[in-house]
Amino acid sequence: MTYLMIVRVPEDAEPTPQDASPEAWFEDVTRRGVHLAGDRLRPPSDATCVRVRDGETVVTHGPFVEIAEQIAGFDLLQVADLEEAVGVAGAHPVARFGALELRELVPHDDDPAGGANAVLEGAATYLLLMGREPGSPTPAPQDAGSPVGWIQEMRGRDVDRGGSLLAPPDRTVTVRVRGGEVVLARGPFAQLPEQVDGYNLIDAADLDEALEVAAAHPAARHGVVEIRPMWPL
Amino acid sequence: MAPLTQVGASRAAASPGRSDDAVPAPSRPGPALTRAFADEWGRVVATLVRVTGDWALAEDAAQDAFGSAAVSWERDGVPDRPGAWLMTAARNAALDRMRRDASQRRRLADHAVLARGRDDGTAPLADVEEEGDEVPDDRLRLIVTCCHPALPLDARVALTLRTLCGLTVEDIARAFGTTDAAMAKRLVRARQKIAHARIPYRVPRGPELGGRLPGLLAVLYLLYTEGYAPTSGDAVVRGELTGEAVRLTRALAGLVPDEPEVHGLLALELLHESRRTARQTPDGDVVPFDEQDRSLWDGDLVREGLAALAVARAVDRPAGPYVLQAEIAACHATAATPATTDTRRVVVLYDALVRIQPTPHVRLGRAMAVAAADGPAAGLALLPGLADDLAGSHLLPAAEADLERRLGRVDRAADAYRRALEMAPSGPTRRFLERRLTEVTPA
Repeated sequence: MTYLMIVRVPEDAEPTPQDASPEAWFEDVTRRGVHLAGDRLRPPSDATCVRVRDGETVVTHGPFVEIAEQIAGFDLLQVADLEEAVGVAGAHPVARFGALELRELVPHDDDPAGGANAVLEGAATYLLLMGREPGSPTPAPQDAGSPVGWIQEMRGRDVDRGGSLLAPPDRTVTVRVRGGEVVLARGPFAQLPEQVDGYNLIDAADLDEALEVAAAHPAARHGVVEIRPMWPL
Repeated sequence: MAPLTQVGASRAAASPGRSDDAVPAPSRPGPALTRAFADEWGRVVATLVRVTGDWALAEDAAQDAFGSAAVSWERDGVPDRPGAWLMTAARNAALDRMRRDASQRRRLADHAVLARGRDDGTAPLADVEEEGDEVPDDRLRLIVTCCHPALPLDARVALTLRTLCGLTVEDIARAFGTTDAAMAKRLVRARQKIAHARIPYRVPRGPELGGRLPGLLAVLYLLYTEGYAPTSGDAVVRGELTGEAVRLTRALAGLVPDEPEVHGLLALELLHESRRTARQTPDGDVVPFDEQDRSLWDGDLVREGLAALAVARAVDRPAGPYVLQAEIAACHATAATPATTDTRRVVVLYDALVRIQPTPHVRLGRAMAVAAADGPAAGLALLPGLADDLAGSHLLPAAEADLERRLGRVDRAADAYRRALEMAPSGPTRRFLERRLTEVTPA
């Protein structure tokens, strides 16, 4: 099973130097072969959102939902089951001062990569988060499901670095460690009407290309696509 | 976003402000530097941003260059080509800053264009200038990047004023009614987003540019109006801002010739620009529109403005807000006297403008247009409807005072002038209202 682990860090977090570094965790998950990909993301103030309505691309600054526990990073975990995923998340240092949301990938059958599109080879520069928000239009039939056309085009352009739809929020498990105890919660870390329901890594030359790539994704027509630059290596 | 209520008249350290102040301080550079600042600041920063890719470094180096110009020009006289001098100085300052800053040192290698020249003894500016010839206008890249929709609107305006016009952080903070620290932070964040989200430093083409236009025009319009009617400070007109806005709008009109609103804005700016001389007395007081000596209007600018408007009209599309405002300005520009103005047409144009842009300022403009067409009483009747939206602004009592004055009701006029003065900013607006109050107060 593959999980997207969304790393949530409170704005006012003051982790100990030891908790601030996921090096040991990273070494462990790499050695065990459960870590497919992952990165820190630039802060929400560097985020940009794209919506396409009536054929017009609307660009706004900032994340699509302003909350105290913003997405600071992500990891893709290849694990045997949810229990193993919870174990991996609970060992992450952010679990002690933030939260880790585990979202199972639900690749579509018609995915051109046959469901193995979670992560592709090559450097990625931006993470696209496909979001849903109240008041969004209902997806047109051709926009529901896996964005096959978009994937094909972006592979052809060598822009696609892998992505997937995610299991719905009610199948999410949020992991925290408080007072040494692993605390699990069903559902995303906050009961918001806005939720992430897909992601895609891309390699774009600059923000304008990322905007164009995001606007071409069907999710932009019925939801919102947030563009988060990756932290430079 | 807070409106630009009071961009100060003072500028960067290198800017002397008004050159006709009584006793220039010894460190104050002369008018040549003032002019160079207006002409070159944006160009120097724009070029350095292109060459180094580092916005903060570009601004700091430009500041250094204008600082050394203040000293060196005073001592050695103004160089033949002030722009070239400043560009060289700024480039060298950028190099020095990069060499001093250890973390930047490794980046030097990436900047062959910057580093060349000094080492081989040739004029370091040469390449930058030659390159500059291939680029239509770096300042256009700069403003397009400053106005990128991925930046918050207030940050776009602030960044344009800082990087393109060289206003200080303090000036911009005053304009937004915020603290220096908050404004500095906002600018830092905007520059960081440009760097980290990789907002490209280029002018987009075709449909992409079309989508960026409204935001771009809004910033140019703000630049122009802040220059034409500064909301604070002692200048009636700040020509460096209006000039910058006109030049950028002209360049943009050349890039997107099919967009009527760009030509509309250009026409609007040029028609206003044509009245600059007539709009102020030699003493720096404001001359109200109806009392301007129309022979002082700049005929070339009027013609260019009307030509730009004709281009906008030729596009078969409903007129947008800038075209409508330009049409209104054209009604005035083509009338020989206030009495022969087609006031009926002005009202019709305002009606159309209110429909698409029902802001308090537009509605106040319409009330004054109605007053011109149907008499002051008709205009007065419309003012109470604006009381809530314009509370706290001197504009409403000033309009009321003017209409009461024209009706000959001096007591009511005097009362309204006093109320306007309670809220009026200092400078020419205030002096004008004081003068009017004296006129309507019986001796």
